[in-house]
Amino acid sequence: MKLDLPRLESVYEMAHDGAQLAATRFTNSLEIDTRVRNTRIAFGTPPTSAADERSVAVAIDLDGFLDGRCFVEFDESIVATIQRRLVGGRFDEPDPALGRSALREVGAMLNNGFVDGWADALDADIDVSPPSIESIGTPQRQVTASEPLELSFWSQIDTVDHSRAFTLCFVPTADCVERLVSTDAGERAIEASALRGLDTLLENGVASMSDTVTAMTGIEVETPTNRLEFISIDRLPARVSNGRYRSVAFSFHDTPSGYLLFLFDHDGASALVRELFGEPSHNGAMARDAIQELANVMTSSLLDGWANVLETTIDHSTPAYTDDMGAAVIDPLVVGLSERQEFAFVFSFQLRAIDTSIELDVYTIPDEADLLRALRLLETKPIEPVAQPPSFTPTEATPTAFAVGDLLESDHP
Amino acid sequence: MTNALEDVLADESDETLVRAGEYRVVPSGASLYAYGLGASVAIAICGPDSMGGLAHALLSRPDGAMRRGAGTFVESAIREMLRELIEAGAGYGSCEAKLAGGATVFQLEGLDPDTGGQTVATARQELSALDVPVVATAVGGQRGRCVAFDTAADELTVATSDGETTQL
Repeated sequence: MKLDLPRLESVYEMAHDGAQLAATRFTNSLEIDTRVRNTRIAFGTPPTSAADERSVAVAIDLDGFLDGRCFVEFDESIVATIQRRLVGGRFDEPDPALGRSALREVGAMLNNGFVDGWADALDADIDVSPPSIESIGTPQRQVTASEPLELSFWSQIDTVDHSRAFTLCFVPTADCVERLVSTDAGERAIEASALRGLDTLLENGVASMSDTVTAMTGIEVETPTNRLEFISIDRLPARVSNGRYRSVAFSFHDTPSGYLLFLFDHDGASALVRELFGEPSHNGAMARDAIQELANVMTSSLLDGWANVLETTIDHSTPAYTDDMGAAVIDPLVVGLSERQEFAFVFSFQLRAIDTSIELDVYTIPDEADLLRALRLLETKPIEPVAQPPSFTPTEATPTAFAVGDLLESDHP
Repeated sequence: MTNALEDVLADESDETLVRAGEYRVVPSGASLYAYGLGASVAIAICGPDSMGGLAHALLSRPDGAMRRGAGTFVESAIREMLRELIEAGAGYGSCEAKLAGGATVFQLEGLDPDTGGQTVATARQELSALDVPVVATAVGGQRGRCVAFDTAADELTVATSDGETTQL
């Protein structure tokens, strides 16, 4: 099966429009102003939500041109608000059954709004089942794996005070994926197996990067989130927090080309530098150089792995460091890519140290034309996932003595 | 949201976010804000009777093949905001503009370091062509910015991550 990028872009817009319609209905019904923060298409097994485990989902099954499961995940705070708006004041004591009924009703309204957005665009009939309330993570497990290409549509909807209200998701079946995005041929067509290969390549790259961090710093890390997504470039900044970050950016060239961005939150960066240098604390320039050097080695580790598999050469730029708002830091990359393309495959992951507060977000944004060339190469190269390392059991004396200071000595004679 | 922006918006209760690639025109008294301005540019147009519009534009002009919204481009965002303001009762010659953004947050091989400057220049050209004077700017430099536009006070507040706040 081949994935057609123009069709993928079209269904992305349908999903976004469906989410807008659902948000509008929510706003009109409950008088809580909401907006779609972003829409993304995730590849691979549908991810579990970032929502709190105390949150709930309302799911419906779809049949017809759209076939699969559609569900809305409500954050706990908005559940309470919905129930207060719909049943509050009628009873002295909260009525759980009435609360569930209200939630089911709102969930059905949102799911149906989302589906109506698609149905209008597709001019197709779509049957929907009655809604059911489920625990978070359950709805996506109810859909049979959609080989040869698993994908899911996600839209995050925020309230006007910028907190997350709910997330809409559609997980199509294999037949539905084929109906929506497949093609026989085309300049911008991607073999599904190559996209799966890319996903594996990226995951292997993350494993290699994690090993590099541990080797350099002695700090064991995990990667709680790790995803390949397709997103409108204009909506990419909304994926990035606007908190202040110590950031390192790289451009890389050849097959593929694109940008890599490392965002260290301030507390995490300080903790990292403390781990590297120990107490007493370091000066600002040393901290900057340590972070820059760590990002530089991680980038080499990632790109060398890709180049080995693809049998190409991938060069990367010198690091560009800045300390600024996350959304403002990704903005120049978005602007640069915007001149050439409207959508992007984005691979993002979080690296988190076990037992410390160190957290690092990494975004890889390839240029589409060069990514397509890389994917052509992957069509003929089966890639095996690397073995997952055994789970880490922290010990009291975790070594942190790798001498990043040694790396810095050449910069600071 | 940054602390700087939170401070800027501390007294606002009805602010509306203008995301990258969007523009909004609001009636009297409403507040608009945008964050994550690196190379991209915020264009605030103040109309009479406290009407106003804010765009968060990424690029100067559309390429022929692109299907993106008017807010993505400086040229179309300015024209659409002005059209909506005039439809709402603003007269030609009664609007003024303020600009923020267009910074070089970092220099990176493969990225034109002056993209932001060029986008600001396009905004100035387009506004001049439409007889809208640019009365204040906070553009260029190396810091990212966020802005809050209080249409009632006709005031654009610009904040950077290092805590610097400017009223335009």
